[in-house]
Amino acid sequence: MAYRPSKRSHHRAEEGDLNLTPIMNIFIIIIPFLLLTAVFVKTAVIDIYLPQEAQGGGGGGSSEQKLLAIKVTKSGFELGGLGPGIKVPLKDDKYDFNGLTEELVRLKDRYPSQEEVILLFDQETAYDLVVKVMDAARETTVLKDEVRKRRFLFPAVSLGENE
Amino acid sequence: MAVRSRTKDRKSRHVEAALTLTSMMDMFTIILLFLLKSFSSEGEIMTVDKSLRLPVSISTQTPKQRFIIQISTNDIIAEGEAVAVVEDEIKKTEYVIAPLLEALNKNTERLAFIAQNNPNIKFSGEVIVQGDKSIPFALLKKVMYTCGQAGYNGISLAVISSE
Repeated sequence: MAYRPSKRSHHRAEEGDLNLTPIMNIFIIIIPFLLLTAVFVKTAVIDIYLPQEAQGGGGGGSSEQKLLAIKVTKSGFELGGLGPGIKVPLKDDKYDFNGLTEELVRLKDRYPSQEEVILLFDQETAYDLVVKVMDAARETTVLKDEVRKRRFLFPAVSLGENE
Repeated sequence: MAVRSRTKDRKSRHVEAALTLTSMMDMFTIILLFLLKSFSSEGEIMTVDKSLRLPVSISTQTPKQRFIIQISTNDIIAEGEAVAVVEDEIKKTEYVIAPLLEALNKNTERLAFIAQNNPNIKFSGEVIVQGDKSIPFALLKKVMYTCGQAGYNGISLAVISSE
């Protein structure tokens, strides 16, 4: 008897639809769960350490070391303590952070072992600016082999007040 | 012509109607990947009040569980309890914020009491300061000085990570 191709098998080859229902079930459960645990605003912290009085005995040698100070005034930044005094004036009535970073990189190249910096602010300086200057002093990004890389400048930051 | 189309209609009614889920699957896959990327297994350690606008920083250091001091534009809040009014404290000439010092000392005592029974818990002297963007540096300095007086030397400033 000659084989007649079955109608049914022909039909099945035509519509090769996957059964997506189980995947949909999984997705519908996973997505609300992930939405609940997702963190959209990431908080971070900046550590500053106050000098401890009790450690005064051991730190006698290091206190003679010159410290970099960045003074933030209404007319711009003033760098002192390490190397010659440098002024980074305001640019278009705004603080020139790029100029500050440039000077800091130059100083870091000259004094690579220096880690500390003292930031001096006016009484009424807004907290926002304080954090921005701290960011600029702590690290920068450098283009190296076309990849942006972090470079630490002066990560040990302490705060002070303008006299 | 009319007769023919009617027969066609009757024929198509027998075909099973399948939903085209492909585009929905595409969407779900993209959402799933995005949520997985922003998934953090730690959850939120530090909760930030909605009225508090933290400054933005490039820091990526993750916060730890610490004593939290919030400085909003109106109040100074120690671990969820309002201890001082900002306006009054700015006007005062003395550096120490007395009620905050008291709250910190109480926390130290509490930790010392816990440490008697559980040697794993140690006094680390660390606090997280969540300050509003607009607070003046003078206030921040007072809070930091008070922390220093209470023996809390590790101060972390809470920020919103921009990365």
